[in-house]
Amino acid sequence: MAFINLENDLPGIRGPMQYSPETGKALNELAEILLHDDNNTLSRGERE
Amino acid sequence: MAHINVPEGVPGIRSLVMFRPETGKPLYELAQVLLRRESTLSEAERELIAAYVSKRNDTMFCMMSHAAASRALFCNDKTIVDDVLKDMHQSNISNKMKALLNIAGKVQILGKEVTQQDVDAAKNEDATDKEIHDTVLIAAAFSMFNRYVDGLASFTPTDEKEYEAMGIRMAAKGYVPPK
Repeated sequence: MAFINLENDLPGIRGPMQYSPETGKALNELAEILLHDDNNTLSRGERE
Repeated sequence: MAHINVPEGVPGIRSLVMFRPETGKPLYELAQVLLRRESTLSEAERELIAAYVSKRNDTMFCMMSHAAASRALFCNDKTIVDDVLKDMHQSNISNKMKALLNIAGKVQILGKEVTQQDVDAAKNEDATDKEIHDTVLIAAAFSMFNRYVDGLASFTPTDEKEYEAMGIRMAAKGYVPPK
């Protein structure tokens, strides 16, 4: 059980991201650029 | 000297964001939303949580700049920031803020250090779920910012006057990525 009522049943970080979409958007964008963006000399596999 | 070739003489996280603006944009957005969006915690209180966590992580740049921003925002109560950073238990901050700072301090060590009792203590002081959420995310995000700044040994000014000006600017303008 989460310590606060997240108002959804999504697993892991997706729960708090849906609960607080404004912070979720910035966090998602950061992960997208760090891990998913192809403009990088480290492969996506290496970054994950 | 920073560990990588970032713009010289630019302090703290700004130099890192100038080095890699693509990651800088969401990092500044995160800080702006967490510290400046509408909230039942004041901007001064949220800046104080950021300074408290940065102090515990021993990240001078973030601690000094966010303490200065909090001082600028707590305009009537200049000593509260220093009192909390010295020993929050002995300070005049509200019991709710003490309970939230206790949670932030646990997150700074390790997320799993936060217990049901810590959360209940905050709820007993009328902290809302949203306030607890934001406290945990501010503590987690600043632990990330602190490690980012220290892990690359970014430039840390030592003149306190510089931080005072920085704090006033952060209080007035919020978090806008450098061009």
